[in-house]
Amino acid sequence: MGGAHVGSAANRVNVTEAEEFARYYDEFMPKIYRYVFYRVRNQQQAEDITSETFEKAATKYREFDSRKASFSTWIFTIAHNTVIDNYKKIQKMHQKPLEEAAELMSQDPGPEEALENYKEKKRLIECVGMLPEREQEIIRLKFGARLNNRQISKLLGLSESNVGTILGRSIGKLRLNVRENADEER
Amino acid sequence: MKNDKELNQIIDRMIAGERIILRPDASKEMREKIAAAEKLLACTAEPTPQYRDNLKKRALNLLESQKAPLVTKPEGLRQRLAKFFSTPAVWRAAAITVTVGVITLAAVWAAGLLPFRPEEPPVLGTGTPAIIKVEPAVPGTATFLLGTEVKLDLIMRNVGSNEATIKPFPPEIWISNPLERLPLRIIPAGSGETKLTPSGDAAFTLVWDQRDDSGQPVPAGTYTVSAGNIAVYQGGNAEPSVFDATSVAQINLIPR
Repeated sequence: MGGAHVGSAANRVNVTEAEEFARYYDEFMPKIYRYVFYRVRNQQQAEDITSETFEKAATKYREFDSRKASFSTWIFTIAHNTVIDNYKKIQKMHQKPLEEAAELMSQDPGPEEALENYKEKKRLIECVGMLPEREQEIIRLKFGARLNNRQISKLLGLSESNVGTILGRSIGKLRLNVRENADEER
Repeated sequence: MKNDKELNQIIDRMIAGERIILRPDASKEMREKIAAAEKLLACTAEPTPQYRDNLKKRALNLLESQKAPLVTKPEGLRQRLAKFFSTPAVWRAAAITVTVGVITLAAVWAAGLLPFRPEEPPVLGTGTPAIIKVEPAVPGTATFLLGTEVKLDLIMRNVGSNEATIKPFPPEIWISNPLERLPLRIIPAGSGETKLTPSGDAAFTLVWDQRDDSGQPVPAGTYTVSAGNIAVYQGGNAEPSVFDATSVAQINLIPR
């Protein structure tokens, strides 16, 4: 961290520090956004919470110590806490966003497949919401943030093998729930 | 167990962008799980490039604005006194008069000689004066055996000076584990309302089956009860003051 300084002596922003933060941003911003989106299921809220997360991270970056925790653990903890701080707003939004979320996620709206895709994703989102909180969080970290099981285990204080087992079990439950819901609709 | 390991490996390959071709002898269950995992991966949205760039600029600006403060030696008492006595006499007299006045007033107030005392600090609210207080009918932490139904009598009191109409009643209740911050159970508000005269109160009973929002029994421990989303109408105002969730009681669950 011994690079050149930008600005005056009082403005002690290290070039390497800004570069380092930018690199972290490029790597983790999409992961955080997807994780948050998985949780709030609303584009505007996902953008707001992701912004708040990275603004907090930028403000506190000098307190981040890579010897104590990885950037991944640090930034996801900030994101998790920011989601909780916005919990009440999110609860209100959850009264209407399923349709919006399923539409946003439909990136391949073929003429006949579109409706089925939309229905399937809607069913899946509903089923994820019915899982216990810890299983939901693992699904969000795996499929939203796309973290590996080791990273998830560090974040949640579980063993890596435990994360793998819970993930397998959760997908099994989802598979059955989705099928049951689809049968009920027919 | 072996299946879980294989499933996890396949998911990681899918996340890495690999196209998965299953073995012909893969079970139906495994195929369905992989299909579910594929859909889960598709169940998200990507940030727009414009949003991504704007936030990056903003975050980097914020990072740069976190300047190290200039270290200046704090002013000593001698310098401050010297500065004070170099100001015009009229300002010195005014400052001394105000200081003596404030100290005298504080001493009289502290001795209880003033006919009024300031109102108690807000109990519930966000910047508005306290008007509603919720507390357990029996003070202190309520203890229940694990697995039994919790019935906790709570009292909502009007501590303001005007008649207040409370909607909804009973209010929404949040039960949370203080260590996790996240409410684990939200008990919806009732559909009624109640009118409270100044100092008047209304009782209600919190009934909790010791389960979280997903229906799982909670473990032994201490839980915080909060009341929130309380709309208070007073003085004929059409617009209510709305209070956020605030801790009102503690529940201790102990093993049998």
